[in-house]
This record gives sequence, C-alpha cells and structure tokens, in this order.
Amino acid sequence: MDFRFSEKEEALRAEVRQFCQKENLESFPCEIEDEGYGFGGWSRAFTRKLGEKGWLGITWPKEYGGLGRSVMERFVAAEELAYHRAPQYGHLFNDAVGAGIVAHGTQEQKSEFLPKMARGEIFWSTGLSEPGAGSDLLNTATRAVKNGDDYILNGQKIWPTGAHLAEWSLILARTDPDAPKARGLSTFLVDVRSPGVTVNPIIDMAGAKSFNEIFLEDVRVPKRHLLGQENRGLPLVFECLEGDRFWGRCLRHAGSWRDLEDLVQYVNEAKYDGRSLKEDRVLQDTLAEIAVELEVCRMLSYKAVWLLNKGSSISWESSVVKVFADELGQRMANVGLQVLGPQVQLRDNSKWASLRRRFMFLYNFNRGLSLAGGTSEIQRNTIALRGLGLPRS
Amino acid sequence: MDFSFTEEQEMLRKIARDFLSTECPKDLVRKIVKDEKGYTPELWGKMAELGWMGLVIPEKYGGIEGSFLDVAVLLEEMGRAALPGPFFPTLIGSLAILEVGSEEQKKGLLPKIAQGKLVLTLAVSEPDVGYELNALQCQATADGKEYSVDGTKLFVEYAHLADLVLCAARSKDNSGQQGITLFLVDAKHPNLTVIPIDAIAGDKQFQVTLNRVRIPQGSILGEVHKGGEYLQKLLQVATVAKCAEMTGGAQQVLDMTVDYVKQRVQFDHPIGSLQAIQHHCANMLIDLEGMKYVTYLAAWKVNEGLPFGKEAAVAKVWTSEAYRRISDLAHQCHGAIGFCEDHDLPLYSKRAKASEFAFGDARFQRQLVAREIGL
Repeated sequence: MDFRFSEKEEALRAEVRQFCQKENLESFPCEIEDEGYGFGGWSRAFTRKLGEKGWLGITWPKEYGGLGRSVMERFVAAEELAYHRAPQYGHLFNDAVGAGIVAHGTQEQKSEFLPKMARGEIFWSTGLSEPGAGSDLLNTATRAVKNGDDYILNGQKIWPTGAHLAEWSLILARTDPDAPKARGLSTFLVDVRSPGVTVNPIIDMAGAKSFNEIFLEDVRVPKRHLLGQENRGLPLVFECLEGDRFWGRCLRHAGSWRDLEDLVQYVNEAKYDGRSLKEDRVLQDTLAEIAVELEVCRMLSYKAVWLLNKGSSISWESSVVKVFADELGQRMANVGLQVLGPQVQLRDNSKWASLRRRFMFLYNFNRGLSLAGGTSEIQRNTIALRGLGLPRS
Repeated sequence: MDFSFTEEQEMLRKIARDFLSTECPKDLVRKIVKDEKGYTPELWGKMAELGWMGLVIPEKYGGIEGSFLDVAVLLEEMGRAALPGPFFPTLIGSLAILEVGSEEQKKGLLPKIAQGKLVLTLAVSEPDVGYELNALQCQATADGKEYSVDGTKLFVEYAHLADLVLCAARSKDNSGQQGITLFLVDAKHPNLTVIPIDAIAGDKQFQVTLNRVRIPQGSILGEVHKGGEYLQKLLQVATVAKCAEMTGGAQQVLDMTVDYVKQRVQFDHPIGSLQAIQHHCANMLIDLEGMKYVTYLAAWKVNEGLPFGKEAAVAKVWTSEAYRRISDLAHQCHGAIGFCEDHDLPLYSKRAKASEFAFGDARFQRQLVAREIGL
C-alpha cells in the first residue's frame, strides 16, 4: 500500500499548478458558468489553452495528438485544475467520446477527430437519453435506417450537456428494430450542423443554459461515422459511460475542498448577531463533517483511478464515486447556505457576495447531478448487482 | 499510488481468517461474551504461537517485527471474527513500551508479551473525562524517588486479566497536557481495585481505582511529566487500530447480509432482488468502501512515520458513524431473525456501538478535524 503520487505525477502537478497561477483564470470567457461539478465553467478559449499544453488528450497516443501519459497523470492534472477552479469543463466533454473513439474508432475516425479534439478545436456532446427513456437506454426509440452509403436518423434526444456549444454529438440509435432490445442499437458520430438537426437549449433551475434537446429529422450520417460495430452500440456506450461517470465526478473533492477553505475563512472572519461565527460549536462540527466526507470522497476517487490506471474495470466503483460525490455536493451546498445565512438570497456587492452567489448556484445546480448521467437509484442498482452480486429483480 | 496489500499481508489475512473461523466460531464468541473471563487461555495460547502478540515487536525482543499495516490486516480479521479477549489493549500497551520504554523495560517486558505471557491494558478515561487529556484528574504525587497514584479510571479493558495497567496520571498540577506521566502499574497491587462494568457488547471493561498505589522509578514509562504528548499520539494510533478492527466487523456484517438476502425468499422472490433491499445493501457497500480507504490511508501514514493526526480523526469520524449505519441497515434487511440474541448480527451491532465510543466518538473527533481545517 502506498498513497504517494510518483515523482513524475508530482512534477506534472507542479507544472499544472504553475500554469494555473500564471494564467489569469478568471479572465477566460465561459460559455457555461461553473457547473457545480467542482471543476469550473465551460470555456472554449481556456480549453484551447489546455489543448496547447497537450493536456486534453493527455492519455491518447502521440500519433493522434495525445501525450501518451498515464490515467493517473491525467487525474493529477485534472485534480489540480479543479482545485484552482480552472474552467476546464470542456475538457471532460471530450472524454466519453474520446475514449470511445480511441478504443473502438476506425483508423480514419481516429485521424479525423482525435487531433482536433486534443487541440480543443471541436467539442462533443452525447445524445443518449430520450424523452421516454432517461437512464433506460434499452428503450431508445431514435431510428437509424441504412440508405446507400448513409444512415438516415430520426428521433429526439434530451439532456445532452453542452450540445448547443458542440459541433459533434455521439448519438445512440436503433438499427435493428426486430432484434432483442439490447442488440439492435448502434452509435453514430453526428455533425450537429447537418441538415435536419435542431438543438434547443433547456434552462435549468439554477438559471444555467447547460443542457439541451436535439431533434433529428431525416439526418444523413455517412457509414464511415458509425462508431464500433453495427448493433453493438449499447455495450460501447456503457463502456464509455463507466469512464464518464468517473471523470464527471472524480474531482468533486478537489473543487469542493477549495470551497470549504472559503467557508472556513468566512467563518473565521464573519460575525452574526454580534458574535463571531468561529465560536459556534455546531458550525465547527458541520464543517468538520464536510471535511471528513470530502476526504472519504477523495479516497473513493483515488481507489477508482488506481484501478483504471492499472487497466481494471471500475464497473461499480465508478457508481460509488458518482453517488457519493453527487450527494455530498448537495449536502455541502446546503451547509454553505446555512453558514452564509439569509443573505445568500441577495445579489449584492458586499464583501462576501461572490461566495454567496457561488453557493446559491451550487445549491440549485447540484440538485441535478444525482439525476444526470444515471440517477443515484440507477447507480445503486449497479452497485448492488455488480458490486455485491445480488439477483436481478 | 498502490491500494493493494503485499503478498505477505494477503497471506497473513488468509491465515488469520482460516484460523479464526475454525478456532473462534460464533458459538464460542457468544459463550465467551457471557462468561466473566472474556477469553479462553487455549485460544490465547494458539494466537501467541502464531506470533500475533509479537507482530509489532522487533526480532531482538522476540517478536516478528511486522509493520503497522500488517497489524491493520490482522485487526480487520479479528474484527471480522468478533474475536473477544485482551489482544487489542495488549497491542496498544506494547506499542507504548516500544515507543517510550527504557531498554530495561523493553528487554524485560516485550519478550513476555510476544510469548503471550503478559497482558497489558490502558487506563486513560475517568468518570468525568473521556480522552481530553487536559482534564485528567488522576493524581500522581512524588514521594521521594517513588510516586503515589490516586484516582479512578473507567473503561479499562480486561483489567481483570491484565498484568500491567498503563495508567496516565497528573504529576504536576494545573498544567494542561503538560505534567502527565505514564506509569506501568502492577495490576495485582493490593491498593488497586478492579470492578467490572456491565457493558452492552459483552467486551470486558472495568473501573480501576487506585488508592495510594506506590510506583517505583523503574515503572515510569517514558519521561516524567512528558507522558501527555506521547499519550496523545498513542491514542491516535489506537484510534487507527480500532478503525481497522471496525472495518473488518463492518465487512462481515455486509457479507452476512448479502448472503441472507440472496437466500431469503418472500412473496416468491429472494428479497435481494427487491430494489429497496438492493439500495440498502448498496448504501452499506458505499459506507464500507469509505471506511476502508480512510483507515488504510491513516494506517499507511502511521507506517511511514508521516503526521497522521488529521487522518486518524477523519477515519474515526467516518468509521464510527458508517459502522453504525451499516449495522442498522443489516438489521433492517435481516428482519426479526437478526433481532434475536442468538443471531450473529447483534454481536456486531453492539460492538459497533462500543467501538464508536472507544478513543473518542465522532463528536470528539470532529472537533479535532475542525482544528485541522483551521477553525
């Protein structure tokens, strides 16, 4: 057992830290504000900056614009960026699709997409859920019918994050309606500027424009943009989502640790009802509890990334990370509001206004995280079935 | 980063699991819990033969010279088996002697401990004091070259079997954590009274009263007046060790629950196929995963000689509450059968509660965490 990072990993961490300290992180325009995942907003400009460093495709083969570095190194870099609130979220959009293309793409697909993704020039969203089927991908109704050298896609997708900013989308569609449900689905790399594609942003309760609905009406997708084998789309998607669940949540501890530091500073300086907040034993307990949970969250992430790094599956471990991180995010946001008091509702310019706005946003936004990417209930099913071997219902 | 145990540790785990499942079945545990001795000399002797009491003791004192992570592995298995007996307090006592004992004390005591011939126990808590060392009241008065100790200690484990009581007493007045001295008190001293506490988990705990117990120079452990600082660290090590034991117990509780819900049929289906039960079990696994890694992190830091105060407190906060939650859900999944005294589950759920209080409960530990994060 050894919980140290290697010298190489520490060197990368130091490099990323220096980069964060040198760049004026707040100066990058964000297309989507901080998403509450704990890793900053979505900034096209900053993502390109990461691309220049090679960190977007950090684990990808060098021939496709990557750095060929380890999964652990990617994690260390991402952890450091998250702590510094770098608007790195766009980086993670690439992941599910990037991993899918690296693992299952044709030579041509790899050359076409990976280098541009690694430079931060093109962005992806994933079109999986549908209005009638949220986490239940077996009931995907979007159809893809072969027509000469193309497939013609028809259907509707909902909840893809950032689709209004992305150029491309990974779409799951039914290619064989007669096959058993799990065996008739395929994945397509779809140019969202193709004729017949309509993307409508949906405003969430935090006021953020982050996810969307996508309408597909006789959309022509060339055969060369079928990812993986025809009718084998579902296992491919599950494989990608396993990583997505992890990368989408594994930085909660790093970003939230920074938030906790802010709250501690606030408590040490602020007064309410004529008393110093720092003398409030209940507040001390509450914040200590959050610190404990962030440590647990950190170790759960470390365990999962250690498994990933040595090439093992994290089929249920990623669900553990997701459930824990999402529910902790919600508890923490609520604790933040309790600490900051009734003025969290105000958007004033007082000393602590930015902290208040941040926690109010997190409180609203984090509500969605235990729904996005598979609800916590779905994750618990996965943990029970795969982690504990319980029988299917 | 490496979350795996070494081959030797895996072997130790296997040997311990096999040995304890054969030599310490639950029927025996239940018998021992009800018996006032609280252990059997046969089992104790066999454990000594395996070298367990000497696991952390250097070879030159007759031990095996294992690491603290080895100890964590062994304690996990002991927790899993709900092993009764004075192993835990003896281990903590031997760590104290190793750290601050004189060469003479080491030579005299450690080989005997390693052979299983000496039982130790730790006496810190008092009627009005938990683990807040600043508040200790037990008094040590200098009397020539000797000290005379007066006071009452609570929750002294296996004091009735112990040969030596490692007792913390105030040797200087009103000096906070400064001015505490550790004494190795002969447990059979005529002025020392041992009264059993009827504790819920059946683990053997005692009130120890010292009435002018004279302690010779050679029985002072470490430097006079400087025991507080070391005791603090010893308690933190004990905390991590307790977390390892609790983790093993929680693992067993989850395993027995998963086995049960796979087999138990209600309304024509195993209840383990019901989502409500599955979610309870998933929650148990999430809690247990957390227990493991915060405990391993702390144990690893102890092992490496790195500062581990924060990690120990974090581990105890999480472990105390997670083990209780796991036990609660296990009872809910087992239904009425798990409520019966003869079932294995209460052995664990009661111990979960007792362990929660050991070395400071979550509320106590959260205060330590609060200091660590700058509050």
